[in-house]
Amino acid sequence: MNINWNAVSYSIPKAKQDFESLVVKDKMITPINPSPEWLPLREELIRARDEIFEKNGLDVASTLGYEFDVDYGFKLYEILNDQIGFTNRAASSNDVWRYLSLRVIPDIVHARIGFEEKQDHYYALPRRVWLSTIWWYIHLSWAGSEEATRELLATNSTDTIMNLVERPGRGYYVDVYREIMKQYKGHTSRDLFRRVLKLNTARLITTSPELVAGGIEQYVHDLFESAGAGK
Amino acid sequence: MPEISLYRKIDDEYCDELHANVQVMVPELTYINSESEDVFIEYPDEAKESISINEYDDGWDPQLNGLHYHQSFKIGNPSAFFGHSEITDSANRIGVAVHLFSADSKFQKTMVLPQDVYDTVDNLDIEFDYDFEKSWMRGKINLEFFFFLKTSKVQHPFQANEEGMRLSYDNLFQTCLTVDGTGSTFPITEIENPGGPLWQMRKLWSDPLVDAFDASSVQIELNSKHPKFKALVNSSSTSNGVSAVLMEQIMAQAVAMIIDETANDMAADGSDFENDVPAEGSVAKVVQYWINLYDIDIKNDKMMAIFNKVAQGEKEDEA
Repeated sequence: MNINWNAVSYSIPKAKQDFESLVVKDKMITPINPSPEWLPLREELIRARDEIFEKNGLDVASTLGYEFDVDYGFKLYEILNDQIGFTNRAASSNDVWRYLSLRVIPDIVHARIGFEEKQDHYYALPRRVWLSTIWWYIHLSWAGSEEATRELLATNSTDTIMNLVERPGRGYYVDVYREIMKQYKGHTSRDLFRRVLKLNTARLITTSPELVAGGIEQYVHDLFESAGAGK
Repeated sequence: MPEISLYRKIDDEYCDELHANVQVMVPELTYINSESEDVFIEYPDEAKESISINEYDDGWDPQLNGLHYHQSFKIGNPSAFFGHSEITDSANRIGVAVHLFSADSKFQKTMVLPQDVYDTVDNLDIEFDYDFEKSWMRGKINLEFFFFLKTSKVQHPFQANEEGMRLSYDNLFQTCLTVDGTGSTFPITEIENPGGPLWQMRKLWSDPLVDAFDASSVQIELNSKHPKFKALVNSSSTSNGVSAVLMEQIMAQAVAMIIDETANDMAADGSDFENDVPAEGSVAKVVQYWINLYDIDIKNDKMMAIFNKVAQGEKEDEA
């Protein structure tokens, strides 16, 4: 697979044009014509979807939800990695995510998201582009291995993804987010999670988590305490 | 609003009064090129706080090259910070940390520099070295250096009393590295539209909290085919004449419209300035600056009130 991620230039107007030229026929989205250098990646991403479908007894007509977000997120995170040149720089490019969504695997996005009025999740709102949100969700939750990370995410919901990924602020505080995900394990209150993240946003203005006594672990522990965890 | 500090902090005035003699050296940027040679990126000292790397070295490529950042600080008289009535007690130590953040590279973290500042009259050299990996950086990357309380064994009134507390009033030093594109200016573009209006706005952003405030997000289009176009641009660079006033009015209207549109978008999206931090350089970041500058009540002011405040504010700036 030889993709020059740096060369992907795919602005919103171009993406809009492509989105508007897509049509849904017999529940399938068309046309899908990736250029030759993208075909091996597309095949791999499709194979990954098929594996999940097979494992969970799903098909193209199934309604997909959080479970698929996590399953496909792991596949995406495994496929889009350093070895194929997919680095932090590529993962931070809105153009790359728009291109993958509309030119490479619009059918997979369609199966999960739908189509009509869903442009935000394909290209229009960078922090809502579905493929980007699930990749970053795994990245920001990563606990060293897929198995360990899966354990942390098991009881979460699409709400968790949205709350975690949608507020990048001045850049994701990756180590803090990973610790938040670790300490959120076992909690199920969506409201608690939202409160912790809001509190984090407010505290980061005056506090550096690495510098407090006890470091990031203690900082996150204090966030949960202040947000009323365990009460 | 001025910041009110409940404990003593280090600022330029403090350093001058107590002869701390803090010197900040310019950042040194180097990389290894495809020939495995070390390359030193030369740039003028005055650009040290905002360095567009490709402006000074077009051979550097964020995709293909890493970047080594070196920065040193000298503290001629560290004892100026220590004592009962100074920043912290002699038994304690001050650290220097750097907050590295980038909305474009979607990353932030804080690192502690290896050398501590302790109570001595001898010169202390503090060094920072960091390697940005190749294909890691995107857009703008900010580095902010500051003093903090590293160990706290003895406390006195009006001194920071918890480890980790920030001791710098402003940053010790800050810089912004631009690795893609160039710095932003007010996005005024020209179009040819015979019979069209003298100017109009184009809103192209989709997410004001993230999208950069530049011509890819918003444009004030001046119509070069309009009969009054020449009069507008020719005299607007000088501060007199009707056209200069007209240009000010255009800018005030444009600013008011951008503020209003951003506020509407954020409200529709469930975000607000209290809970969401706009990305550096984003449309919302610029709007936040205007809101403070022109004292706009973003929750209640409607378009007309916003325009009046902006226009009034611009007039006061002139006076």
